Amino acid sequence: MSALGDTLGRFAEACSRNQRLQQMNRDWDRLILVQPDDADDQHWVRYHEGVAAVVAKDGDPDLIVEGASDVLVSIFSGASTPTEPYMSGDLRVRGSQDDVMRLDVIALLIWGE
Amino acid sequence: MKTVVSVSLGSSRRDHAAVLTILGEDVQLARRGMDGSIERALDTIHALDGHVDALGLGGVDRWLTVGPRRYTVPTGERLAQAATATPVVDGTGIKSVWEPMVVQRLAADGILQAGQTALMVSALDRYPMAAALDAAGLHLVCGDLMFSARINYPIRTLAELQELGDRLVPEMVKLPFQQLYPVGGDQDAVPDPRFVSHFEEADVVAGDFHFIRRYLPGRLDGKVVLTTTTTTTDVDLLWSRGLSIMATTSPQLDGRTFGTNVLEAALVAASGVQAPDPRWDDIVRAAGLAPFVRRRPAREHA
Repeated sequence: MSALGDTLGRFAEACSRNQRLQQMNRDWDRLILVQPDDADDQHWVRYHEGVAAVVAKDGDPDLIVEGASDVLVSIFSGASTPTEPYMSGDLRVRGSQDDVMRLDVIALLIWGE
Repeated sequence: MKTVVSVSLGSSRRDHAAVLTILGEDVQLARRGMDGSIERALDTIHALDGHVDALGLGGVDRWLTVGPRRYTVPTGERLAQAATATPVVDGTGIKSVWEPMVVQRLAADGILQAGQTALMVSALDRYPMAAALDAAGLHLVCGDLMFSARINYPIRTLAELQELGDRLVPEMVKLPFQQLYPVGGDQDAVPDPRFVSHFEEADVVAGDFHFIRRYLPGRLDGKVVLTTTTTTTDVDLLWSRGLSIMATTSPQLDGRTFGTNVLEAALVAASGVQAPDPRWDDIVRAAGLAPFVRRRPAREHA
């Protein structure tokens, strides 16, 4: 598995273990496509009833997260925060504004608890 | 006469002017809504700089204070820095000194009571009010994640508010302010009922009126609203929903109450003193401010 795939696996596990995130996202059912723009690679994460999991594609994504592989690995591993790359355009997130905001909150809360 | 202008990112439909007598000075107050345009706000501040006694920033904070920490909001800071001659204030000096006193007075008058549940629609921009409600024995429900990020997660303790604030605020303030707060036409939008259960649970609804209005439930029977920046239309809307008691932290002038930034700007214009000057707290106490409290008019009773 790619470094991004490994990172997303750990990200999903950490989200699912985190009781506060489980509670926050209990009503958030979304399919997220994470797609590096410098590699022919796609990863899918399903958030359902507070639990996140890396899954195979099973429909159209609600959110599409794009950027260079190293940017995506850095954000989903907690090495950097998503806000600045998002504002600078190095991270692109397509979806509803509410979903983009929620993903931002999850990324900011998941590491270091 | 001193002159104060509040430059607000909010809707220009809420513009208003009035004269307030404070600390023995008549102060001409005016609000100018920029309908969400930061560029218009910058141009307006540039044009007024040096021509008025104080400027208020509305619809945006310059700082968010979470417990002992203060975070700069880049949009608010950019607007404040646009004036070089006239002092610019965002209401923080009123929120930190006067609003906790309002809570204490309302508690002393029995309008707020220990054991009640208080929904603070946004506590990160009014941490001192949240702390005062907590100190008065009310059960806090802070709606910051609900009303700013649409995440249905009530924050029920000051400790968790502070912890989440420390994690989220330094990053979230970098986002465009309109993603976090209703500005421009969003202030006139039809209320979104998705968090109605938290309003139903509350005896007291406190905090920024634009958040309250944005998520206003169908009924407010028996409740107290503690807020600021209201027009006669807003107050009529609250009475029509069955509200029992309306309290605002700023005085009513010509049927409306101004925001904390306007009140702070008026005090700065009248006194020449600005927070964090050590004289600021005494200036606020000496100003003879009083919360404006109204009970439900008889004609609105069912």
